[in-house]
Amino acid sequence: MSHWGDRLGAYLDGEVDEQTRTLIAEHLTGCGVCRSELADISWARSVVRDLPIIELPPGIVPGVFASRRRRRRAFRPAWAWAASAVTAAALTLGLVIAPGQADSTFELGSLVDRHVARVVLDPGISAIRGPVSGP
Amino acid sequence: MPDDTIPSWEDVARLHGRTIYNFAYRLTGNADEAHDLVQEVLLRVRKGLQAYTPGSFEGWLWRITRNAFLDEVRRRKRRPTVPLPDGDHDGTGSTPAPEEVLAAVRLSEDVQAALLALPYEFREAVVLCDVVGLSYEDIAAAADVPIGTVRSRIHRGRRMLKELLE
Repeated sequence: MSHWGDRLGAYLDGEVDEQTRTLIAEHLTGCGVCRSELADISWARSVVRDLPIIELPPGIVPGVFASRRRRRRAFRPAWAWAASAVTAAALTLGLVIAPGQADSTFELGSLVDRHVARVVLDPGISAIRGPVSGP
Repeated sequence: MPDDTIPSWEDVARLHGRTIYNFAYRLTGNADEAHDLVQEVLLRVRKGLQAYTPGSFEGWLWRITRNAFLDEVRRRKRRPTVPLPDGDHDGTGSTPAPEEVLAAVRLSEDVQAALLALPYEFREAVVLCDVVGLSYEDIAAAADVPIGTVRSRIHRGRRMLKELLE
């Protein structure tokens, strides 16, 4: 009598057609070799399936955003770096020259708001944040 | 997910991120490598979604995952490491008795070590089937091999695991 070999695993996984399933089931009633083989691979299958599911560590998805931004920053043109430097210098001067002025916080908040607006309107960045549309 | 639906990038991250992480962790036994792989896969998915045509999404996603994994393995050019201690696992749900936890940890560490001892093709087939839960057809699509090869690899992989764990 020939044995079913690797079809036993497919039988276990429900990956055989109905006719083959019936044939294997009938064969198993009279074949100790195939029954033993089926028991062995069934045990191996169950210990792998019983391995604990590991939760996704926090920060992976934000990490993807961060790496995208790092890549964008790496290819930032020189004029953009210069503009940022000028903005930073102006902000620093504003804070140093007029410390304690009531509206310095307001100016900082305004700069932040403008930056956020720019990020939102930037097609490259907004594409990262927004849903992906199909072709 | 219906075959004619193109998921958003966020859907892929939300629905498959954990499974991709578990796939990578079970193949490598290394949390850092699994972490890196998830990020790489999500980046590739995001790029690839723009050219994706509706079809077998699972096959498409796992082909990307597998290719990213193999690229990473080639890049690192080193063998997988041993599993991390149990403190690395993020336990959820009810809390079983300490002796039950110890026994389960020992067994899962033994199983993980046995998985790492399998040749790559067999390990991959077993993990995609029994950890990820893919059908033989989707595994064949992901690994680009005939379904008969998938059947043989899964069966032989389980047979080797049984012998290693005896």
